[in-house]
Amino acid sequence: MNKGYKKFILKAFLLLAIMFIIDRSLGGYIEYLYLHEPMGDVAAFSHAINDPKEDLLIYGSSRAVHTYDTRIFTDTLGISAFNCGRNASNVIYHSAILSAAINGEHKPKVIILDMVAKEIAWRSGQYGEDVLAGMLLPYVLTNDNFATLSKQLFPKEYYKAKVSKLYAYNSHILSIVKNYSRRHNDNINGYQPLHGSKILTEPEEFTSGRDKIDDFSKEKLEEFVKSVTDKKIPLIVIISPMYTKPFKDNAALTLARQIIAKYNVPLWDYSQDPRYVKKELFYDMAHLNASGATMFSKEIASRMKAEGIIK
Amino acid sequence: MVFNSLIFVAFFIVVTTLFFVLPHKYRWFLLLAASCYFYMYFLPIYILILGFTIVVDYFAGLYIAKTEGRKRKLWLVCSLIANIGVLAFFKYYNFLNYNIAQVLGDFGYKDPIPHLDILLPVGLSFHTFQAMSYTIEVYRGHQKPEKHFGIYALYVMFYPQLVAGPIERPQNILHQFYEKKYFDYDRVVAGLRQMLWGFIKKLIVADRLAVYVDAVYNNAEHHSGISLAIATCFFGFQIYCDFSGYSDIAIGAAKIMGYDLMTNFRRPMLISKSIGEVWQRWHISLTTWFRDYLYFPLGGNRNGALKSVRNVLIVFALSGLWHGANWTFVIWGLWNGFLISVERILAPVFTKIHKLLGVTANFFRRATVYCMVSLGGIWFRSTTIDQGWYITKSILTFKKGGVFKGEPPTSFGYYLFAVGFLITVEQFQEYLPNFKVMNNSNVVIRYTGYVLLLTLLLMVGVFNGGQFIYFQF
Repeated sequence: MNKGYKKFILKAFLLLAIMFIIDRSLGGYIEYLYLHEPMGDVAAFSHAINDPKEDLLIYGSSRAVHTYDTRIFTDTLGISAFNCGRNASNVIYHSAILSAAINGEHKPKVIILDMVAKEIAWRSGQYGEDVLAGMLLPYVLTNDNFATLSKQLFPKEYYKAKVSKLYAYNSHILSIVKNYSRRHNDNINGYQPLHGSKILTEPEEFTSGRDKIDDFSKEKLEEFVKSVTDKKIPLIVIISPMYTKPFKDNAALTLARQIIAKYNVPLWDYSQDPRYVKKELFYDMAHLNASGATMFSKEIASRMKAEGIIK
Repeated sequence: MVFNSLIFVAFFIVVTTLFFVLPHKYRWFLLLAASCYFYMYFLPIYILILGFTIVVDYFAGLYIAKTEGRKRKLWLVCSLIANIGVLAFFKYYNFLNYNIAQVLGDFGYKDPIPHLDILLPVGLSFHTFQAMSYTIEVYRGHQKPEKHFGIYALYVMFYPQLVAGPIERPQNILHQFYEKKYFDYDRVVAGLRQMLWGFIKKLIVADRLAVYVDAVYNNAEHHSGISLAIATCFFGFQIYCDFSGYSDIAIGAAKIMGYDLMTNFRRPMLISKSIGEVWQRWHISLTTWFRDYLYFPLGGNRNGALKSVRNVLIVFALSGLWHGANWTFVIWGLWNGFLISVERILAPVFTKIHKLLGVTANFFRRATVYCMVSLGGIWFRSTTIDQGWYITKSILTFKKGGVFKGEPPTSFGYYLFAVGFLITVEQFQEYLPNFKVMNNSNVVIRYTGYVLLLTLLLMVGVFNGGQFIYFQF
């Protein structure tokens, strides 16, 4: 055999071996840091994924994260509360983390699902899949639910994350550094207030009818609702306020309403409630700011009390 | 098949291994078959288009060399018509049709010419230009006609540069297919290093910035002037790293097998001190193609300032059109032609300004050139004239609003890191060429360099299989 070949193969193996060692050691260290963040959003996600033992659990996207002030629910209802919402997520993610809450010894007293108008159309875009992969892959090695879901949704990514620990934590390093260098926790049991307002214009049209229905999201919405109702845990689905002009239901929202109605789950729709469509209550078109969140959380807590959902 | 896919990694390993295992006389066939597979991976039927132009150009080359006078010219014209005809039909038919319909629509004619649902063959503009350079060079007597049909087909189809260049010249590459290649350790490693650098540009810089740029440009009306300006600045780096990253992978892959492709980029971003220099460093294979086959035949800068300006504008307008069948590309081309013309005409004034700026002159020159080129980039990225104008206006009038920091969960820090990393490395490559990491003679430094880059790739690379932008051309 040519000497050049031998030298090349030998050195290629050497480099691969070094990379494997670096990947396992550095990747393992990053994994530890990620799963043990002391505060910040990832610490909240990890709590929601692994060990949610609160009485009230709130699921949803960024609209849940910035809308439900857990302190208000605790003060008004006298129960512990945790906001399990996550930015840019949809019901596929919520249903994956739900089992940790309902299948253990401790059962929550009530669950809120904050639904967006595009809840079961969300995954239609490639960006949606990339974001979801970014959420699931860090837990592929430690959480069976996430491993199964990743394998089902993006098998290539699943195997890449299995092969390389560094890859599983791709694009997470800055958030790890940020969360470890925090001086104070701005994450209040999963709730993250947004301060001020970026809104300069009047409400705009809501482009609700653009995306197609995503069958997998539809299936997961039904699974979420069924899982909770089967365990006899009270469930409320809420569409929180939006800073848009009045809009008609798109096909995805109509179907979502039908699924929820099928299980006799109450749906509280505040999406076009005129009391909330005010610039001073919104941070941007989709998210309430801290003032809006306080007002809305009080409304929901009072209504839960008034309707006897929490006695 | 895209370079940033697992299937390419497998393809590359198999083809390269077979290349060195097979005897020299069979290697052309292996490369040709591999190139066919590479091309057909996109849309198999379009291989027939490529086959058609290859057959026409092969015979045109032979007959150009055999004949004299008008017949010789006739064969050249035949070849050019076949190539430009294919390009015009697939790339410009619907564009032309749309514009004719717009004009005739004003006179009451509705859809006078049928619209065709045709998909643009991948890399059509690249291999068409490469094929044309062959017949032109044979016509000019700079290149002997290639008698071996398979070798000629390989010249057009050589997989590393088939779909996005560099646009090769026959003098540079054809003879290399006859040379016996050996496994050269140093060369293989150099090729792999260049491929790694290409992947880093693509996955760490281009695809990362694409997330921000797409988010802003696809919803331009919802973003402030400052966010649009940031996206525009990022787009310059994105397109550079996307395209030069592809070129690096292509040149590296060819180098491993012993073939030297021409340099296509020489670090144009924030290093060029004039617009002219940008175009000496950017997409060199296309710029020199237009220079040799269009600008010089038009008279170049030999017949006075006015004609020189005219020639520059013609070349850049056509270069814009080469990139895409849309008026936005023509505006982009004309903007660059305009800048070069202004730079030439006002050269004495600029020289005086540079003297006044003293030691800060180079900094200001680089920054100004970057801003001017980026402003043109708006037209490259915009899909319509209205969008391009809206974005330009929003930036120049400082449209109000906050700074968009990217869609969660991606932190803005990744975008800044991508740009900062590229600028730092390229400044070192340009001004401290002896500062070497990956090809340092010290094995510890060298391996540390490899490990750091690979680790960085795994930790911050974007692996969503983003298509190379220049494939569409």
